[in-house]
Amino acid sequence: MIVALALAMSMAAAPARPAPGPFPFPIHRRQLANGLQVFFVPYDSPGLAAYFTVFRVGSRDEVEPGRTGFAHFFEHLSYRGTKAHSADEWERTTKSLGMDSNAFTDDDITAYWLYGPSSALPAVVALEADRFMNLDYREDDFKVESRAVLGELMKTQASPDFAVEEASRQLAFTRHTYRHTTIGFERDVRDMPSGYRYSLEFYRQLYRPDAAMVLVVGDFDEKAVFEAIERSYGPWQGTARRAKIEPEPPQREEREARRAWSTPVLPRLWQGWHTPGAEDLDATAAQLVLWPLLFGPPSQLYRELILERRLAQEISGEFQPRRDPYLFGYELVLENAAAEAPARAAVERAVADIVAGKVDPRVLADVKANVLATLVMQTDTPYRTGIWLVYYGGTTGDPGSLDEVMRRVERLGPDDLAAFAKRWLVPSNRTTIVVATGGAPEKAAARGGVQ
Amino acid sequence: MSRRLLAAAGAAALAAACAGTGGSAGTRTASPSTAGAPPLHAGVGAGSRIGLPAPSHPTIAMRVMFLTGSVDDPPGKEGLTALTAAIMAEGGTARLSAAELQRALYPMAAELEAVTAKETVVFAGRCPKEDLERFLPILEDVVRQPRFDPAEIERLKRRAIDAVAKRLRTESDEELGKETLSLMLYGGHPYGHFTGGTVQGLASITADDVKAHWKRVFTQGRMSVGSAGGYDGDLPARFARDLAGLPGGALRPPVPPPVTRAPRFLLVEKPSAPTAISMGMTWDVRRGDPDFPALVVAVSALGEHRQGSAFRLFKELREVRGLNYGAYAYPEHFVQAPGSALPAVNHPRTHQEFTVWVRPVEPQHRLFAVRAALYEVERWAKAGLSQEELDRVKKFLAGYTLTFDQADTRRLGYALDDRFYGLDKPWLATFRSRLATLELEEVNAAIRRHVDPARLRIAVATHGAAELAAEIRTGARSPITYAVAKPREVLAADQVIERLPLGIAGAEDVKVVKVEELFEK
Repeated sequence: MIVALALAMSMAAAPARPAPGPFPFPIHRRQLANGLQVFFVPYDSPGLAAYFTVFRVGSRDEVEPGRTGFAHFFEHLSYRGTKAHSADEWERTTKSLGMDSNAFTDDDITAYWLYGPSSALPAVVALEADRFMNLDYREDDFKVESRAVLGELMKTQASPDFAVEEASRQLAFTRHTYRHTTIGFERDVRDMPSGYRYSLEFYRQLYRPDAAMVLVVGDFDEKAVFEAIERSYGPWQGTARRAKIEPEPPQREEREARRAWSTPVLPRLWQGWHTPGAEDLDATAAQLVLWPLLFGPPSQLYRELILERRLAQEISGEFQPRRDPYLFGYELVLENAAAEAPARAAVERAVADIVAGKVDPRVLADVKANVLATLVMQTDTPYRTGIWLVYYGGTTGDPGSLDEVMRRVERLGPDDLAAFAKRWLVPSNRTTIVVATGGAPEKAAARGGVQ
Repeated sequence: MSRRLLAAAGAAALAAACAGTGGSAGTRTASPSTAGAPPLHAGVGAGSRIGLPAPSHPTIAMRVMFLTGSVDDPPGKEGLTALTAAIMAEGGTARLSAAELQRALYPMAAELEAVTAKETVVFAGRCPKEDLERFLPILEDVVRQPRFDPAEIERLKRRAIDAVAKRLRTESDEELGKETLSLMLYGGHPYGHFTGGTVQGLASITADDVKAHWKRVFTQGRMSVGSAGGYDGDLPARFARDLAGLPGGALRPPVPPPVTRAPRFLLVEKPSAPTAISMGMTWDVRRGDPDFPALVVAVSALGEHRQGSAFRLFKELREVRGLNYGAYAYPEHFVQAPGSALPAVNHPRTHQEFTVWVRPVEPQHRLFAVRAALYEVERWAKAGLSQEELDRVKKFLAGYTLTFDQADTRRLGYALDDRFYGLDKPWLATFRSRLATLELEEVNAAIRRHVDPARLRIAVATHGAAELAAEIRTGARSPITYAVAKPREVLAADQVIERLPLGIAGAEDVKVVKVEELFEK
């Protein structure tokens, strides 16, 4: 109690931001003395609120050979109970409170959320603080849970898109942990049951208050909820100890790989270029605009590849900021194998046009309008609003960086985009992956058909 | 599965599979009409309107729903309704080519999609409120003046064929399992083919078919319109007035009740090892039926979709036994809304189903997983819920369902579905208020009245289907071993599960098909 009081005295309370930027809601910031950041976003959702606990921990932190997938596995383990509240009790209590709940893990973040009646918030705060501070699971439960992760891997394995993601990371990265997907290499997932001690270490080192943020979006009594957070999270101690993550050395030569798929599928063509990470807000803004300008519905490529020449059925792979330098890429679902060469040539031309500063000002204006309008369209519930802040907060450490990026989007001109493309979208910095039906033998493969 | 295909007895292995006699798995003819529910479609069609204004909201949702769906696909043209709707939504309007349509929507970040279900097509639109005057005419033109550009018809037709032949069959085990179950439950019925069409049905569709179908089914008589969110005034009236030029048309005849004739098991042979399992049965209850709230609560207890181990199937299959990523149960046809675990709106059906979805398992556990799910369903059907479980699930649903209609577009979707089901009062409000008074005995009695595990049909998409068929036919045990010690009660239950009778009448109650035979015609 004394500790908690002392901590409460030292809270740094920041004033609410009076004028929201492009992000349509104010973000109220607080921080506990132990480093935990707390963000409140009042939202007109009478009686409802979304509660997120976000760790700036993800598959990026998996430096140990043979232990890929553990950040995500750890997300599963976080539902396995504490001494005070067993797994069953946590589940039954949160469900009795009427809460929708789940969690997700990505390269840079792990986010746990509950969404439902605001009246449940005091109880939710206490339960969530307890499980992240006092997680306590047995090795038997650990082993059983690892099979749920294998099940999660299995559900995606029939998809060539998953094969593209695996292959593109493995080829584009040689050192950095972005080399593996968040779910991890299959051999590591199968070997997860051997990693109990590693998982405990992972928890001790990374699930610390300075690596976490709490985000509350919706209709709530901010003072009361903050007091509950102070009480429950205040005693949480320690600082995250991160292993050194090797930076990816600059790519000097173009890379390309092809994978044969044993069942009839539409061929996939993926290309990506290494680009700066989320701390470079200008680069994030440039990529948010450049992606739709090159590959989105208003682009020349979209019209040419999909509507006019019908070389592709889809273009996907929309840009998403990552904490460290990642990839600016696109994926085409091609009509057939013969479409690959002309589609690649068309992309080359489109990139060359950007580099040459050939940007249609009307399309650029439309793209900027879209980026800003998307913020309005996709903040139509407290949960969806929170997701924006989870990602921007998780990748930069500050959810408010979303506004900073959006302001940069508004200022971008053709020269900025040309300079970005000239610097990064060059062949020597590019990786290409093709997955297409090939003459592979039909053999039952746990790997879903990739040979 | 088309009606024509079924008429051609023995034309394909699947036809044989779905037209089997059923045996002890039970073939029950659903009652001619859903007993306790109000008459359907009381408030839909004929240009009926729904307005749910919330002027302070920053976006406006608009939906145009037609009482047409894959049930209106002519025999031999399976997929015509979904293809027509896609061509309307994406292929351009009289004023805008397909490319111009995309360009026009883009700066607003506006959403405009056509969703085709068995009995409905909805054109769902949404835009920032300041863009209403730009957006509304586009949405209206999509419905009243589609361009029917031959190049777009060809492009979208090709995409639809590939979506079946090269994606549904091979790219998602989970979807394959679910759609196989649908073929089983509804073979020979208007619901009996994949909503997106069959490969041969789609291939036979011409531009003239599309235009004629648009005139026939996208009519005033079948249309309802609605709007929700940031507007003032009577937007739905304006919307309806603007669409008044559509042909009047006639209402669709009622959809007859399904009669399931499939064998107990349909096993789909596919190249990859992860094994997908779906099981289910039709039942004659739906929203508006006095028993339905009780059944929604009961099925939630059995396996609420993606809500964790407080619910039985998830608890027993995943958390206790580590068989897979999850298992769930549904009291009505379920489509997950994109980006959430919520049920998608505007997939209403005259005839509903009770289904169980077991997410992919490793092949060595496939038969155990089938039995484990059956064991849970049988236990639940026989003994019902406990008082503690009922109280907990009621509290959960009272809170959780508040998020169902939080977004304007979903609120509007629910209101349209209410009209489809002929409900005077909103389903969600009725359900929430009913939760307060539901008693244990009426919930368990509703289960007893409506659930017969012997009627479940089971779809398994796997590699090595013939071996599995042999195991099922011989009733082979399916023991499971664990890498860790298990509580005595789990091992005792496993002893029962590994021997659980699979409910087949004979060898014919287990059919095997190759994946390429499915969704062909």
